[in-house]
Amino acid sequence: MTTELSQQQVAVFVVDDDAAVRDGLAALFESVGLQVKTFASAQEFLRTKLPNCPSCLVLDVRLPGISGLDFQSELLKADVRVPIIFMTGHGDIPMTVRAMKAGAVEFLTKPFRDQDMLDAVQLAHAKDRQRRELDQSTSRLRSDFDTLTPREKDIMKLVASGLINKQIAGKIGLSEITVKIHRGSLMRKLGAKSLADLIRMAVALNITRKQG
Amino acid sequence: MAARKSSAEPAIFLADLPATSEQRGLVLAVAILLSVAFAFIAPYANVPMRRFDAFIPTVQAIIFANDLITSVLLFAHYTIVPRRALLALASGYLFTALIVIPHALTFPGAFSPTGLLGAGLQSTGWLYYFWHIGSPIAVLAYTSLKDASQPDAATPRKVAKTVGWSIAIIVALVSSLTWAATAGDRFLPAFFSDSTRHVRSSLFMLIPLVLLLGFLALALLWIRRRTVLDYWLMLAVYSLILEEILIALLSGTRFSLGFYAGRVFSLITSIIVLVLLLSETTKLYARLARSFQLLEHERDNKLMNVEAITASIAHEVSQPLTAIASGSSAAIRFLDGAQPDIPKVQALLKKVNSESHRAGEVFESIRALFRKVDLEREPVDLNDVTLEVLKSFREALHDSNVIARIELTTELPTVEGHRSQLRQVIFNLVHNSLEAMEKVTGRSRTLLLRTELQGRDTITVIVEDSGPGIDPKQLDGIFEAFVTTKSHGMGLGLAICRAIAERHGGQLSAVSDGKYGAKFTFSLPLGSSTKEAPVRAE
Repeated sequence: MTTELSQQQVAVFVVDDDAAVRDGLAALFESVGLQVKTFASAQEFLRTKLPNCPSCLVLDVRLPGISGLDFQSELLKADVRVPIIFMTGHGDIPMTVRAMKAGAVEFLTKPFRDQDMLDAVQLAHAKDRQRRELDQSTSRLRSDFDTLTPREKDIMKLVASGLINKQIAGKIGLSEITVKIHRGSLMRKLGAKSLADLIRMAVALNITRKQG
Repeated sequence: MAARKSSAEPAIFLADLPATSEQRGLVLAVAILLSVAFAFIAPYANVPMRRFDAFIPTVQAIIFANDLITSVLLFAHYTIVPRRALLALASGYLFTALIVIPHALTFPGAFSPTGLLGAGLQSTGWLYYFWHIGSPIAVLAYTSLKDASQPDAATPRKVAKTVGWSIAIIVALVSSLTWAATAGDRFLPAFFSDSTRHVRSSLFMLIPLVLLLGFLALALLWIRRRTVLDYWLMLAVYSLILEEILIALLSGTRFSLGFYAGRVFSLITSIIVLVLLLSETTKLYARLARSFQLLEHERDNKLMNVEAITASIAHEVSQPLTAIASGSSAAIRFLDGAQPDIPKVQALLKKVNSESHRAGEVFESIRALFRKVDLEREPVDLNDVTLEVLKSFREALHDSNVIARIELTTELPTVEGHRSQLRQVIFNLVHNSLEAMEKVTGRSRTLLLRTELQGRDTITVIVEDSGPGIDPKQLDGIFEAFVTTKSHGMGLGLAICRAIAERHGGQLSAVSDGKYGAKFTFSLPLGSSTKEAPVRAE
């Protein structure tokens, strides 16, 4: 179910082994028009294909088989970058610190105020949306970068490392005019309007290297 | 220290410490060693040796220190356990500690050729006998007082006063004896013809008396031997007797082999009780430190328990409260819309209602564990209870696809007990089984409920499931409060169940291979044995 969801659509996943808590949270999120999917265990969550839309995970710290905190690091390892909101039966400061350090959006102590949970979900969604947009523009840029010729790619790297045309020409044994032509072509292909634009792209593509 | 099968209260004071077989063996070994040494020396006791004037002051300085420390320790003991026997012994040691001073000072050749304090030829000899009469008298006093005397019901102040008086009397006694031996030298019968040789005739009057006192003390100690102190005192007295025989009977002159060897025995006499006191004190100190450590540990455990209780209760209650908060807030929102979704709101409120009961049950089960229960017993049909429990799970069984089988024996007599408590045990077991089986996929979920009559006097209810089982390593701990193999819940359930089973004189046990299923057996006795365990939780 990789159906492309509309821009407004967002999803909430709830993982809690207590059925009553799952149902209550599902009802709460439905009542404000959020899409909810509930899971009784971490394994169940991992088995499910997630929709491609801004989403967040509401996770109990204590889960059958695995602790919520361990599950969080497992998700990080598997590059599942869904923002996490933790719930716990009793506030434990070291636990909270660990979760927040690993990038949790919020750590709520049960029973929490419904508004706190909804605020946290909203914040998580905003974060996820932002990340997705960034991911998207990076991947577009990467596919543009792939259309460059090997020579153009070399020149881009040299430009990004701070060399001027004359130096580049000397370095790769071309005339300055030819370098200028390649440079114009690659900037057109990437849609870079200025040198600053080009360097920003080089940074996003992670192809800059120290001159040395 | 060997196993000390003590009476109800372990003896912690030296005065009460019974001698272990090891200690008795050690005392015997030392006694044999002394006897062997004595036997070797005795034939040569009269062999003259080099005159060594510094010998007496050196040995007596050591004896003085030993006896003084021993007496201080014994006086200290007396202030803790005020017994006359200890006071007598402490005074005796103080007496010997003090009397060795004039004895050494008046010894001819030690500090001056004729002895200090204006000593005559006989002064030192008389002081020696005062010393060796005083020692066994103190032991005799100790022995005759030790069993009769219960601790004096004295105030610390009175005890301190008694100690003060004892010290004063001993000092006065030693002073006057010293005066008598020095100033009255010429009026006393003579022991010595010159500064080294004994006068046999006059010695024969005193030596039997001294030896008699020693043997008397030894015999009385033997008859009344009981504590470790008694045994070591016997050893000290024995050493004293050997010394007297060597010095006074066998060696006719000073600075003979017997003279020197006798002083070594004298040294041994003075050190024995001190060694005992020090070693026992150290042992007692170690025991004290250990029990203090245990106490600390216990306290930490208790604190941890309280913390665990609080955390568990908080967790257990917060689950239904979260469901209630979320569900009710959802219901409000659904009502707020333009077209309120009434059936949905109804369903939500039903859940809110049942969750609030669940929260209440948490407290109920905690209360059941801690409060005093003193209810009336009634005859209970466990088949009936089992069916009733199963009925209450009908929907849950259906929802989680569990096949329930029941095998109820037809000839089950009733047991005397509290129906609701017994029901709670079976309810908890079934509930746990269902929860365990939630994780099961790929095989059938089966619950087996069975009642059996075992032998003539035991009824068992068996709850078996096809869940993932319990790790055999964890099996032992699952009945303890706050131990849980579940990811949630506070683990009070099984602890309560076991407590109920035990209050009914029964048992609750679990078997599992940790892979396929778990089997809980709840057994209850029939008939009179139930009365042995009054239902009262304290």
